[in-house]
Formats: sequence, C-alpha cells, structure tokens
Amino acid sequence: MQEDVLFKGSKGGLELVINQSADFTVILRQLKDKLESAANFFTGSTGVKVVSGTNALTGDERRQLISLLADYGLDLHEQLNSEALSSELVQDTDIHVGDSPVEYRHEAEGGQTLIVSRMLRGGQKVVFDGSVIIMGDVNPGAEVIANGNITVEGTCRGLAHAGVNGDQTATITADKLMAGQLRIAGLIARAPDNQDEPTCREIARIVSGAVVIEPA
Amino acid sequence: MGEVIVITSGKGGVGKTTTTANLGTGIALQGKKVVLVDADIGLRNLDVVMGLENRIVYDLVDVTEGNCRLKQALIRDKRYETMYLLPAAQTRDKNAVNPEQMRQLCKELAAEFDYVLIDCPAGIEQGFKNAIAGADRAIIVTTPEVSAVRDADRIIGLLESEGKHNPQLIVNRIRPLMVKKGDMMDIDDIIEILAVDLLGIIPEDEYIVISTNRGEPAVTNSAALASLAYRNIVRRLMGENVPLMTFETNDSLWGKFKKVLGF
Repeated sequence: MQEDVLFKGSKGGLELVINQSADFTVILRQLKDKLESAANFFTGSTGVKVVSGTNALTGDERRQLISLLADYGLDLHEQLNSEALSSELVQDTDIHVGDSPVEYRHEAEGGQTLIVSRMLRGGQKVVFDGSVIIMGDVNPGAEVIANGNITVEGTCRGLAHAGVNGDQTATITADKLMAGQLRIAGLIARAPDNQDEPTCREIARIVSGAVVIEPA
Repeated sequence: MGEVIVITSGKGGVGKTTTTANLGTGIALQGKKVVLVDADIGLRNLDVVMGLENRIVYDLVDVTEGNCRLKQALIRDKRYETMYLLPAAQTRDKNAVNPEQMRQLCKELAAEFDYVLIDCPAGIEQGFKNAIAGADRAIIVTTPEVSAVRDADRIIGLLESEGKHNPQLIVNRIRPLMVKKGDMMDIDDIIEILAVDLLGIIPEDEYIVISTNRGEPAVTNSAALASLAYRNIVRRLMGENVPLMTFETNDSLWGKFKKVLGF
C-alpha cells in the first residue's frame, strides 16, 4: 500500500505530510490506522502541523482531519501555509542589521504581485505569497521566494524559488537567467558548471517533471 | 562640520587598513585636517601601519568609557601636521563600545576635523555595526576575487538597510596583465555585479608591502604606481575630477610602469 500520510519530526514539532493527489477518504483511513497503531507514541504531543497540499483540503475535510486528530489527543496546531513558511524562513537568517533581514515580507492574499523596485544584494531576501517582479538584478546570495511566478528585470544570479507551496505551473523569468540554482515547486535544477552568458531573456518552467529553460 | 567616511569591505585582508592609512595621509598632504579612527578593537593594526604604535597612551575605549578626554587619546602624526590617529584598544573586544557611543564620538570628531576616516573591522557583526554607525558615507574596498566581491555586495546591502546609500568602490590589487589574459575579474565585471560608483583602482604593487613594514604610508612615495593611484583617489574624494588610471598591458611591467608615470 502506498503511504499517503506521513508523520515527520521537525524543528518546530510534529509534522503531518499528506499526499496531495490521494483521495481524502484514503488519507483519513491511513491516518486513523497510523494513529491507532502508535497511539501511545502521540500522547503528550502538543500538536501537529500539516504540510503540503493543505490548500487542497476543503473546509469540511479539514474539520474531519481536526476531529480525527482530536480523538487521539492531538491538536491541529497550524497549517504550514505560506504565512508560516515565510516566518520560518525569516528565522533562518540569523544576521540582523537594522530591523529585519527580509526586505519585503507580505502575507497578502494569493494572486497578488509584489513589485520590488530595486536590486537585491547578497543576504537580502524577498518572501511573498503571490508573484514577484524584481526591477533590478538579483545578486548571488540573494533569495526570492514566491508562491507564484518570479520575474527578474535584470540578471538573476541568486536563488529563485517559484511556486514554493507546490504550484507546478509557476515560472521564473529573467533578462539574464544565470542563477546557480532554480527551484520550482518541489524541483531543484542546478546550472551547468560551465554556464555561458545567456544571449536573450529566458523562462524556466516545469515540463513533464523537469525544470526546462527556454527563450521567453 | 567635517565628513565621516567609513572604509569597509566585509572580507578581511583586502586592504581596508592600508587604504585608510594612505587616504588619510593623502588628505593630510593636501593640507586638510584629518583623523583616522581604528574601529578594529582587539585587533588594532592601523597604528602599526602608520608607524605610531609606540606613542599610544589612551585608546578609543578609554574615550568612550570616560577614562580620558578625547584630545588626550588623539595621537598627532609628527610627519604630517594635520593628521591624527585615534587608536583602538588591544586588550578589549568589539562589545566594549556600542553604536550610540560611536555616533557620539564621530560627531565630536567631525566638529574638529575636515575628514574623519574610520577603519572598519572585517565581518558583519558588532564591530561592523559600531564602525558604520556614525558614518556619513562609505568606501567599499574589494579585490578582483569572487569571494571579496560577494562580501562587498553583502556589505552594500547592509549599509543600505542602515540608511547609508551610494557607497563608493575601490578595487584593490588589480593585476593588469592577469586581467588582460582573462585570469582575473576585470573592473567592468565587478561594477556590473555591485552596481555602485567606482572611486578608483589600485594596482598590485610590491611597494605597499615595503611601506607597510616601514610604517610609512605608500602615498608619500612619488614613484610607486599604487601611490599615484591613492593620490588620485584622494583628489576624487575632495571633489576633483581625475580620470581613471589606464594600464598599458602590451609591454613589460617596467615599460608599463614608465608609461603611466609619463602620463
């Protein structure tokens, strides 16, 4: 039987990982089995976080999940959505000069676009629940993390992660796409070691399970 | 009211202290009143490079802690009447002062001097925050190496987040022959990444080593190539429009040397 439900221990506590594509009744059944088989293991846990695919759950499904977890003494602590994700990412940066290492941090509704009207330097980071347009270069060591698409009106040499919550249709576009690493949804692509300077504007997207870069 | 300029780089060993000493001396040679502040507490070097080590009585921490008056801690350089040094403490660490104290100190110094040059320690921690706190503007020193340029980029970002915009760049230790062969990053590559104004370029020069060991800043030597480069930077700092040095690379090192001097 394929495992569609997985418990993982993480820094922030217990995480419940759900296979997005599985049928919800299957998920519930597997979760129940899991909780049953290790009931003692979970006692005393304060709560769980649910990651991956939670956006696909309807309100009703979510309620069922909560009540099932509650039967075994677990609270659904929080959904690890983009909001939780961005604050977690912020904590990763332990160097603080000024107020915040993150230049722009918004937890807006999805579907919005953030326009950053300057370049991003090493150590600077933009996290946004939507699409991001950078009007300048993204230098090595800078990070752009977006739920939607990323567009760089300049040279992208830093890290770009589009579709961070699992959106496989997200794209990364740049005048000069020279990033050492590109991430779209759960996929990571690494640049070739002897990368030539691109001659035209390029776009990266997922095509049949692989990150593909082509002229935009 | 004088101008407070911090000389910083992020990476160590790129020539912050050498640059501070040479720019300071160069400014003094132009007859302006200048004070050099060594903000590298615990690893002081500037006094050694200036040849003033054995004249230290009080230091920066003594001033901020009120053990002495500011005037008592300032060391006047006998060779250049208008230049003073405020040395760092060697037996303390970066936490011995805070940014507010540095701001206050810079303000007092700026009231007395035309230029206050602060030699920033390497890194981005407390020492860096202290050094930049009171600065009006920043000079970034880098070398044509990827690691130094990365760090410079990070530093520029941190300066911006502290409200210090438009820093100027000095590219140190350029080797024209290597650049020509494509073995070294050239100025354009560096500027493309950092996107800041170029204040000057300093060629690699053995004379820097000699002058550092002697405790006599290179800028006073009229013959060395790096000295000329430093003098040009001083003039640019003071608002003069001096063209960038060009390097003839199609003949030998000596030929190039003479050509630049002739120019």
